[in-house]
Amino acid sequence: MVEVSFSPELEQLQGVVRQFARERLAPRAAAVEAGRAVPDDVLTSLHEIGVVSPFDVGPDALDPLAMAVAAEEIAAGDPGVAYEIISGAHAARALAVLGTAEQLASIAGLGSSGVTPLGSVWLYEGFGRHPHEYASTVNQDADGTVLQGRKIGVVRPGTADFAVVFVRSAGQRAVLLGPAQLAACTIARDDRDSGKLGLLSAHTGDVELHGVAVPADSWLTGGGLAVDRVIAAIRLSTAAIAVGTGAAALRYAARYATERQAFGKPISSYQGVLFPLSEAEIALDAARYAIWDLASRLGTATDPVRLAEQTAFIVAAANQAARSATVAGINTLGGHGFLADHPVERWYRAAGTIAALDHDPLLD
Amino acid sequence: MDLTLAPETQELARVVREWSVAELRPLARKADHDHRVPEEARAALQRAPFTGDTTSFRFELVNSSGDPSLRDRRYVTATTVMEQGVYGDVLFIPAADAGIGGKVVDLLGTPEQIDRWRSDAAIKKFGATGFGLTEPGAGSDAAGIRTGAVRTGDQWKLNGSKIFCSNAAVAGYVVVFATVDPAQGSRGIRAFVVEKGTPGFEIVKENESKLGMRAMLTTAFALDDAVIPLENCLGRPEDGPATFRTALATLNTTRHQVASMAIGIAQASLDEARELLDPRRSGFTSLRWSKIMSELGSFDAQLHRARLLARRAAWLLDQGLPHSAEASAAKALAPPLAERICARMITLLGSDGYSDEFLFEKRYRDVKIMDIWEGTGQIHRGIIGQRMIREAAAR
Repeated sequence: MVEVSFSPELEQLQGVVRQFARERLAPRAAAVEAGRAVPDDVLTSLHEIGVVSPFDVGPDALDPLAMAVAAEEIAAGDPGVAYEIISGAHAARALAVLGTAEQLASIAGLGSSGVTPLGSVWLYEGFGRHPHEYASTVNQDADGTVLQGRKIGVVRPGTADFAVVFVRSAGQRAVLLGPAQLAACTIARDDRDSGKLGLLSAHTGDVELHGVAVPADSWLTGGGLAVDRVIAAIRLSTAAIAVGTGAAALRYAARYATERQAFGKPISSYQGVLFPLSEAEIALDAARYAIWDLASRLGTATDPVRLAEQTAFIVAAANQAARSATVAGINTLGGHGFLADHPVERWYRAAGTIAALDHDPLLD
Repeated sequence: MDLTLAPETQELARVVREWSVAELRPLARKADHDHRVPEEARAALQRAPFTGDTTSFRFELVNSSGDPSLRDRRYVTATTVMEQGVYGDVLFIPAADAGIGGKVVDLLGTPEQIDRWRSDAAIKKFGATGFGLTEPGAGSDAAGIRTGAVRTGDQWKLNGSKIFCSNAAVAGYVVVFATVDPAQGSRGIRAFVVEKGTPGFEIVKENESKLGMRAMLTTAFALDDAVIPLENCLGRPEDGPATFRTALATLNTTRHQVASMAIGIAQASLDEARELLDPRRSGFTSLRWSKIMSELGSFDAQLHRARLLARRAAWLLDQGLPHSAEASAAKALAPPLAERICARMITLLGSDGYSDEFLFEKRYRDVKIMDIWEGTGQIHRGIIGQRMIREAAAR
């Protein structure tokens, strides 16, 4: 039966996150970006809301749909904060969904944040690869299993308390890296040091897994389809961040268009100005509902390859829509859109960065 | 019909590209970071194997040897040079730009004014010049400018604010557009030379904080009861209504060049992506690799089509023929295309695309202004549409 509304709980979560993002995050986003880090008080507030580390409140507290909704709302305040927080939250969720009670307990005491153990998902690889094509693999050597591969866009490189790494080994598998294994990984590039285009408030980097040894009890016991569903949930959240970024740009541009006068009228009265905004709005809306649709029925997906493809189509649509929205956002503001005095240039940079994380050249 | 460049222009293009890649590209990151043109860039320009600047549109090879009668003319050559200079980095634009304020003096000034502000000695004395048209509340609708000029005796008193004024913070003078009578709309607009140091001429922000093109100095300034002599109003008073049209005509000779800038940025992104992707071929599935190669080929072809439109507009300008809609066509087509290409190269390259370790992210930022300055895409589509309607009505 079709039901196009959220549960009361999800509606409440959306409202709380939206209010926080728009009232407390957005006004200081430029300063947060300049600081290149998620401020402690933002982390604490989002943790209180329940989106930093969902397993603190039980494995079912935040389902993939709730994660996507939260991701979009936080992104409207600051896409970088959204990426770091939600990507970290997915590490916790992956552990809660795929791990054992012992594995959960093994990280419970960790954490320098004073709030909760902060995780990191190591998923994306670039090269347009779908999850079932990931090149990160597991090899056997004399000491047991070792990981090989390179992951991009990982949050908290060098500072995460734990990481959940997705690798291929006769199907998808996920492995928990604790402090000892994390110390053995190489940070191939710390984006905070080398600089990057957008999402600057998220601490990200590329990591290498060359020969990192993994103890047998680090493997998360949930495997196969369960891992595929977790991966899809993560990708949908990243797509939701793109949608939130684009939506923020459109809201800002629409307001500007009603205030800015040219040739004696508000520029919103010109179809040449309004139509690119409305086209982007339509595309964002379609992508948003596709995210919500798939996220809400991930539990029923049975074909891993089909699931990865469906996810990839949605990710591509979200990124395309976010690009159109942020370009239209700048164009609506004209020269003002090119200035850092307005946030649209930041959203344009964010959209370009998010699109590079998960991209299939065959699809758009 | 021959859209091919003359051999000497091709040689000039090759030399400029080689020079720009070798001399400017290594400075690109520093210029972007420091928000200024590095001294090394100006020094590199001094020893470049060609002469010219983007203000005069006259570029030549040092030791040019071809038959002058077989050469491409000024604007075709200049737009070609612009693309190849920008190919190394957009730093070429501010490094080779002395500002277009002087050009307005050329177009609008009386012989005395031209002698005063444009003689060889004056060019040496004043250096860079600024062009003050855009205001916080008036961009595309330039006739809506609010900066006012009031005549009192033998002086003009100017009040108002300007933004996006290239070079204003360092210019020897800025040509400021101001209205002597807001009720007259564009007919009330005049151009005034405001020299550096004029009391009441205040720099509000030396270089605006921008998404891209950060090395290019764009200044916000205010005029607070700035008093200038009567003779600093360009042209004769009876020429008045022509002033504003002249201001727009000034931009009209450069619009197709913006298309060339965008093409230069996108071509650089495309070529460098190709170089970087090639050794990574084994990382892609064969299906994806073939799609990527076909897409890169398509982008090359699309850029070339845009290049031909810029070249056509330049040729019309060289011939003294109407070129407004043709310049608009090039300007409306190339920048959005270049944006798409720069964005696409980032996604193809993953984290190398968005990392500051490469220039792809910078080009994505730099290219965005091309669809905005010198007439937004909407304005140019409007110009083309209006011409279509006029022609349809005349049939």
